[in-house]
Amino acid sequence: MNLLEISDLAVSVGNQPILRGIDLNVCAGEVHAIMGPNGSGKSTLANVIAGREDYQIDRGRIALEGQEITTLSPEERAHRGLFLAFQYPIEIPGVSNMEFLKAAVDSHARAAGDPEITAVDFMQMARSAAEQLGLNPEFLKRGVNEGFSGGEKKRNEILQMLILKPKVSILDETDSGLDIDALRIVANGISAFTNTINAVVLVTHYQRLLDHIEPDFVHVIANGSIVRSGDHSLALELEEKGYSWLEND
Amino acid sequence: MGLVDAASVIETLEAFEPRYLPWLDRHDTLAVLKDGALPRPNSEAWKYTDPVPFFDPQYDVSDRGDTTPIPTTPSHTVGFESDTVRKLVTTYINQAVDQRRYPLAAINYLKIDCGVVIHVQPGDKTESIELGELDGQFQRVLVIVEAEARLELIETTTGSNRIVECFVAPGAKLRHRRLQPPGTGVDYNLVAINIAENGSYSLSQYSTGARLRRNDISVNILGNGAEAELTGAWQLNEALHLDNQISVNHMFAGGTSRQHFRGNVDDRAKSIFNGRIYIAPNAQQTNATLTNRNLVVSSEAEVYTKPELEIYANDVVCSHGATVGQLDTDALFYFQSRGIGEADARAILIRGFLNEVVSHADGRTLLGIET
Repeated sequence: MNLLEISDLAVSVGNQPILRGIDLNVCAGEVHAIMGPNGSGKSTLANVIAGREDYQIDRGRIALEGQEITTLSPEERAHRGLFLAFQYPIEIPGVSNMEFLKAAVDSHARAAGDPEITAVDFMQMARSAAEQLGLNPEFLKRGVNEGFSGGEKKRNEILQMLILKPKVSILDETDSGLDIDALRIVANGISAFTNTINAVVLVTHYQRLLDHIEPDFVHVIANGSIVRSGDHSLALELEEKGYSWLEND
Repeated sequence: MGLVDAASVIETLEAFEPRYLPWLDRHDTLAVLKDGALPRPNSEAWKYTDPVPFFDPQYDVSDRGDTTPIPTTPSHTVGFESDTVRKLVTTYINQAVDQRRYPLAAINYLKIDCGVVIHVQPGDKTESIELGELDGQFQRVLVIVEAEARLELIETTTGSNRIVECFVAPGAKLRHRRLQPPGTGVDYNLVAINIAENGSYSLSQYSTGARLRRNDISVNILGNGAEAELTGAWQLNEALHLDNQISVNHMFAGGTSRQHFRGNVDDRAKSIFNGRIYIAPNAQQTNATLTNRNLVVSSEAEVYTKPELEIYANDVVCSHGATVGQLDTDALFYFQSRGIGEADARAILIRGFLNEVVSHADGRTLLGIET
């Protein structure tokens, strides 16, 4: 079944077209990689799916489990199972990671009509996710991303994903800023999270993350369109040849 | 802004016959007011707050009607009228107050109708006192912390006209927490502090506003190693008004002062902040900082902030900064993308912003930012 279905999506900022008719189908149990050169529209696609307001949708549709979501607020999309790991996670001094995570978890419970998780159960869940990603549980008490290294910020994004258990996770350049060890830990976290009822879309510039998480499909975006789709071998080919041969197609 | 009719104010004060503490010498104070201490047209100190309701005698019995219950003042403070404290009163009163700069303190002195003394003996480190509302319109509090003593003072006030004078003796420590619930009247407060050598004063002030509320704070650093740490947070909504005017005066070398104030202003509320650091020619090796940050979350709210430095010494470290901004839309989107609705996200972001300067549970309650 299609978890995420994007058809003929065209998006602009101001009068500048960024995406020019994207088609993408993501089914449960699949890992997709979206690759492409800088400025090709990868991050725009990720942000538009999550509901960021700065973009104008000119045409097309985005559906989650068959339901159109383009008119929904970002929080409603999140409640329906969408998650975006930010390329540049935001620093929020004065709000602890714990408070932020609890508010997120509680909002999901309220939206689902479930009782709120107890503080003790929540602590246990957060600590175990932190340990899985090699993060000292003390970091849960710190301000959200405040003074975190680039690698810690990215791990924190994955931590949120593990806790919120989305159906569709879009990870925007989660591999950038990670050293080799951190990359392996994050990749293992993502791999362990994937199962037959969820899906992951990796937005990345490089193929190195894909050495750890083998994608079922690789799509290349150039100039706002998907110019080629294939399997993992496409990513390896890109690594060798670069992007220019596709942009000139 | 309205004009204060100085002649009429002075005429009323001259005709006033004090019944409370008739033995106080009021002569010099009247002379200060006659000598031009009352606000003039375009007065910088009253640029954004109309002075007339504060000075006009017809506001003397002002429309106070505050609804928030204020704790009563405990018995271990001593009223000025008691003979046992007369010497303390005559020795200390007005020693920390510059009446020329603070004419409402001068009027308070002339018309004083209630006052209490809090006196902590040398070396006594056990005192914690809650000071609530006093039964009068022109209230005066003298806080004397003797050498090497310690006092925690927790004050709740909606103003009226209240002057709190604090004297921190060598090596003494005064921790002063001020809670200012919302008021419906015209409130004036002055906290004036003298800090001696190695003395330490800290203020944690949590405020909402009133119809008009003015907080003057004046700190005099009077000895080597003296330090002042002033923090404050305010949360204003509806049409509340809050005007904070702070002056930290380094009169002696080797002193330290830190000021960090933050406010969130919503609806049609109005926030004014003026923070002055004065460093006298002889106050070398002073270290002074001042920060005021403001959030404005409504298009009709008004914020005015101004740091002021007056430095006459050449070997000092001094920094200041003031900002006025809105909630970060990237941060809002970050929250929303995690499922947290916009209203909750805004509340958490405001709470986080203020929490950086709020370190007491009662302060969080007053500001409505409990978790």
